[in-house]
Amino acid sequence: MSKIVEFKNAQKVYDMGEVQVHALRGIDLTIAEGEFAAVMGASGSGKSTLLNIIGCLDQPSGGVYLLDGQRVDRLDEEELARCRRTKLGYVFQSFNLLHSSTSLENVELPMVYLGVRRRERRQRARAALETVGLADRMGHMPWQLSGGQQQRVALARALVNRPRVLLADEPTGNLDSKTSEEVLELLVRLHAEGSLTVVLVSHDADIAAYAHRIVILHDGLVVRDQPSPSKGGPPIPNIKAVAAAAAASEQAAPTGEQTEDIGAPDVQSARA
Amino acid sequence: MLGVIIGVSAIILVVSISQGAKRKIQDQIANLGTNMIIVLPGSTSQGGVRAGAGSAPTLTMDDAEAVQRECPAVAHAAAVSRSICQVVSELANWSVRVTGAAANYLEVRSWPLAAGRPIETRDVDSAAKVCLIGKTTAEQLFGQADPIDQRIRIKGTPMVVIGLLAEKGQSPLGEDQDDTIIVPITTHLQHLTGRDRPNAIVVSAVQEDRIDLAMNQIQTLLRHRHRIREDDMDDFTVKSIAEAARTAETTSNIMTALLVSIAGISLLVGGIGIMNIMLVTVMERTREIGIRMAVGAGRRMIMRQFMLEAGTLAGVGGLLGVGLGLASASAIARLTGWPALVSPFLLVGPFVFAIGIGLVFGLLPARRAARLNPVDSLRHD
Repeated sequence: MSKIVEFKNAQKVYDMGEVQVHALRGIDLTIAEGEFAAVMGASGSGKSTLLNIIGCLDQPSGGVYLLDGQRVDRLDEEELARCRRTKLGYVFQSFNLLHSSTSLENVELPMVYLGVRRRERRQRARAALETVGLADRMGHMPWQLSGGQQQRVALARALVNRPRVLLADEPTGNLDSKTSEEVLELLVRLHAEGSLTVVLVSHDADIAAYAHRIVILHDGLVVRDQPSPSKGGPPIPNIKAVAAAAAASEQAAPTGEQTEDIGAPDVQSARA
Repeated sequence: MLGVIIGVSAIILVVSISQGAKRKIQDQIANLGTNMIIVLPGSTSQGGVRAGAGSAPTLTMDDAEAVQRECPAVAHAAAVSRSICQVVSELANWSVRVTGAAANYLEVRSWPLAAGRPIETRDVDSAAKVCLIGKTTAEQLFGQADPIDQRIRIKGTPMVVIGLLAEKGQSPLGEDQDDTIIVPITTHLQHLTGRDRPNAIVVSAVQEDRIDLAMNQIQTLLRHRHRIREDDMDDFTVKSIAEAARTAETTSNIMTALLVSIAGISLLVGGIGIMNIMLVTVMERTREIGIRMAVGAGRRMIMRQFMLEAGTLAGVGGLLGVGLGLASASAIARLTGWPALVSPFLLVGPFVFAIGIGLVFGLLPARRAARLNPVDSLRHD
């Protein structure tokens, strides 16, 4: 399996005038093609920043990021846009559909920027909406759809350009539990059908357990990287406990090295 | 967008009305006879101030005949003598411009007769007490009655009306050309004034494009006849109506350009308005722009999208402006009687210019849109 996402000592610093915020302090992470990984962490751990950088919406301030074997950390804005068009797809917590366009038009949007001709665009968009089960809602506007339906349209849009990596930032954050289940099961199905790589960000262990691999960030560093409970891995630890333990071990060894010994984790129910 | 509408319609209104006015003036000048040249005694200074013109009577009747005879580019030349005289008929007492002229005056002025007979050479030779009368004067003096063979007194001298002049209308200077009486020049000099010389020679050139040639020939001939030395100035002035027309046209063009520039300012203001609207629009659509970028829109694509929107906005304003301009031009034309000339270029030009303004003023907002940070934009309201 080839490496799709590869971070070597990636850093991200935000300059806020007098204060510098170190969102990422040195991430070493490799995701292989076809993996389904969940990135977890407390607020401020850097998980959203990491996702944005994977998704070429942002660039690291230091270190190396290779997407599909290509050095992306040095690309200019136009080339980044091309990466987003061709290799990446996004699903957001707040759906982020265009309010004044129909479902079909929303799904067509990535293809517009790729220069796909109208007829082919229509066909592919229709097919994508069928795949997510919304063939009968093509002409609907976003405000005429439920949250779950909107997110499914967003999924269709994310996949219509056949990306290598699908990124989902708290995709069920605005959905009730039943709808969340439906959307996640759809996501699992879509992942299984193609050679799609999925990176999911969530603060919720129940959601993260749908993935096959759990990566936990704390304070800009990877502190846990283990198989998901659904793939036979250990239960997902309580994030707050992880954070506290990591903070404690930092105090003990201020060189910033991570320790694996986090202590007995709270057992969170995880889906098999 | 209102500025664009107003600017475009103002341009169309101004240009169509001034083109129409220019054409009307040109027609009136043509009415006078565009190939007409007038020779006045006395010289003028460089600035064209007619300080000396008409002061010293340096032209003679023989000069007129010589000009007609010896200048090939000249068709007709007639000596004229003009004054304002009191004219009395049975019905009325009227002050009229009386022109004493040679027999070929009507040819020089291309002025046909509506009735009666023209002044003939024998009338000039005998200083006959006959006259031709214009339509307005005829109505003043005789009402609706036939003016031919009527008797009048010009400055006390009894005269017979032998002909009625065809209608000519207003001169470019606003004078009523039909309020006039023409008598033989000899009659005018001997009986109506104490002069012994004409106060102008009116000349018609063979063709409009021979006017300059004719003017040169007249000048050469008269300098020779008046024995003027090489270094000395002319003791006469040669002017052409065509020249006056050209000057009037230039002046009109300058005025039009000035008014169009002012209308153009309105267009610029409209452009600024579009820029402001677009800036607000970009700000309100920050999230949307973030979404588009996330989905793969490059900076140039975003910029193109917003410049297109600005151009379309201006284009719609331009179309409405063209409509409004046409409507107001025809309304004003109907009200004032001035014609309004509209050429296809006049309709397309300001429209294209408006679109250009939209694109130029859309540049700043478009660039601002393209420079947005996708991550921050997606977090925006």
